[in-house]
Amino acid sequence: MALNNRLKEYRARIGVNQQELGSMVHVSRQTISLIERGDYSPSVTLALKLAKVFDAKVEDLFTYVDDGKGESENE
Amino acid sequence: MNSEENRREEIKKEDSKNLAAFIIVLIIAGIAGGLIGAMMMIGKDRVRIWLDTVANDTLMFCTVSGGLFIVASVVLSIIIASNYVAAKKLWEDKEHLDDNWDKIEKKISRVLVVSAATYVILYALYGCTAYNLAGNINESFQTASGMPGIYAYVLAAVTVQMFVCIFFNLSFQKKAVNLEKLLNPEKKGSVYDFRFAKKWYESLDEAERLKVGIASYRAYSIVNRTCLVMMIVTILLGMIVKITVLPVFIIATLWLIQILSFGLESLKNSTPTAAK
Repeated sequence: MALNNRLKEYRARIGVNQQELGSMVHVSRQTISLIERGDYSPSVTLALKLAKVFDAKVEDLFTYVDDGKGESENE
Repeated sequence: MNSEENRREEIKKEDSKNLAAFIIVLIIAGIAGGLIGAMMMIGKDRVRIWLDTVANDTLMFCTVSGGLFIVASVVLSIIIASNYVAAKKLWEDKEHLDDNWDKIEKKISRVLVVSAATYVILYALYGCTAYNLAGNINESFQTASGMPGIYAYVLAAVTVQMFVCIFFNLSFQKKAVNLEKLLNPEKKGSVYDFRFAKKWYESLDEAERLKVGIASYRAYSIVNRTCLVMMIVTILLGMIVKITVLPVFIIATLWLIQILSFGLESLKNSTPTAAK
């Protein structure tokens, strides 16, 4: 997996569930679930929206690790 | 060697690597086609008898199709209803909602996929039942007792069942979509709205649109392969029995529409606005 994230940890800090976080950034619960599981890499816009909700930097939430697999992780 | 020459060399290597496999597949497909053709030549009398039975004894063929329609409509309706009821039960169990969320989504998806497939299956079987309608009804009423034959009753039952199924399907599609909207409040669109598909798509977020794109591309590839196989089968069949050229034209039309619509939509979406 090329993109690691700490979304679940940050979500627990502010005490919201996936559905509530989804509503806060205007995406579905499934999308939050996909991001947390590392099955979907969010767009820059969504990553920035998430960072804003947690009052954090995008780099605090997401870290990129070059595993040489390219950009197919969204499939 | 500059970078373009390097790239050309890489492309050439990739092509030659795949060319061998491509030629092998073509040879195997040619042999398979030849074998199928030879088998069809051997079995052409049987194929002819079967097609003649369908063409001449339409009364029996249409009555059997009607029976299949009734069985298929009942089985498919049970699948649709049971999945919806299971999804609804899981939704009502608010204590375990977080654990059950994905199961509910899966069951709703099943309701929507099966009900969409039901329309296609039932239209096809209804088409078979109503084939040569005037001729079959005429024949069905020519009984020694003066009472109409079984076909007339099957046709009446199938026609009533068709309307019942359309309303049943629509009702469960509406229930499933509304349950999905309860699960995901951001979703928009009513099944009674003729622009439902557009509104639903517009309410999807970026991840959902990506999944729809992947699913659409896979469906495009599957339909392309299916059209190729069906075209070959129809051409081979047409060589030994008179099936008319209509099946070839129907498959070609559907295939062409799929390729052109996909190609033009891809072009439209990949061209920058200023260049359009």
